[in-house]
Amino acid sequence: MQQEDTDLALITAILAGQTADYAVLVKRHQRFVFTLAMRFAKNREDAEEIAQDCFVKAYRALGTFKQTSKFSTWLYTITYTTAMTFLRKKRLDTQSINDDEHVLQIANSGTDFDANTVEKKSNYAYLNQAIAMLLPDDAAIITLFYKGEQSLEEIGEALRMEPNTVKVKLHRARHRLKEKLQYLLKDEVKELI
Amino acid sequence: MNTIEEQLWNYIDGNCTAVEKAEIDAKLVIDPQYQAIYEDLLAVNNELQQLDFEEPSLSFTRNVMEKVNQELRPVALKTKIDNRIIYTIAGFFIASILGIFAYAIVISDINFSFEMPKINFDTNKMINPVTIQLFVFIDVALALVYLDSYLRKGKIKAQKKGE
Repeated sequence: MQQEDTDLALITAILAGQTADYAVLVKRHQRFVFTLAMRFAKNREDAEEIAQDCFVKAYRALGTFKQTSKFSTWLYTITYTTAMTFLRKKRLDTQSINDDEHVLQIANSGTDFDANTVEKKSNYAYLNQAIAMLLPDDAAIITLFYKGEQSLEEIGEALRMEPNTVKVKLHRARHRLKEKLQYLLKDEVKELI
Repeated sequence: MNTIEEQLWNYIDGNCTAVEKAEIDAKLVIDPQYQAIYEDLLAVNNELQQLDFEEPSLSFTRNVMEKVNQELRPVALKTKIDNRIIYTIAGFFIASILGIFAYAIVISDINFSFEMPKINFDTNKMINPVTIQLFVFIDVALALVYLDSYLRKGKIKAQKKGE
């Protein structure tokens, strides 16, 4: 709550002419916006471009921020639309990678890339790898729920979905994530043998 | 996904009612298979809670601010208007309307005595095959419109629920 008050105070100051204060807002939210962008872009360069674009768009539209919702929710809406536009422009394949063939390709590409350090991989690396294998929407919902401190209603607002739809999608995303994790961990056991 | 997992995720997220929570608590004690699923999901949940942020490049803020500095300064679109001005304008129009209305009543020659017109219905003439057909046609048309809107509502609801 304290942070939200500060966000609003900063926005008021920026709108009053203290534009340098925007750097504070950027610093505060950049890690999350970048993480969310990574869920869509899958590589750091593109994610950084999306995240920067998102902050510039947010700055341009700061005067229209109604202050009835959290600044973070509003910012994540911009991140989501920016990422979707970026994906459309890049014509990335956003189709489901649920089928085993794709899973196999991705899992193998990871192990081929760094086969000697498989044993050193932490749970965190596996989790990130599993999230990267999810659909962008599923990955974004999981990130918003666990790291964005967003309620189902706020996630719905950010992703333009009904809260009930978000709830169902969150359940399914976690179910898929569990499957991916099981698959990856099984792969690790094979490597160790 | 099966409903057991949905129930358990709601339980883990704290989104279930007190009654549902009590039911799940009881099941967890008596059903080892149910408990195993719960522990499985709880492990995934714990992993997800430890999820960390990705770090952007060190020059991220600087790059954003460089771009932002090329933009026009944002301006709040919400203009502050003194409420007293709005009330004064509203008062002026209401007073004008009431004044005109009062003046019109004063200058008019109103007679409040009113006689109800007499209407003679010849029911035999009105109820004939044509009027009955027309009546049935309108009823059918209204029923179809209602059915259409009812089906559309169902479809929209299903779309909103997702998948």
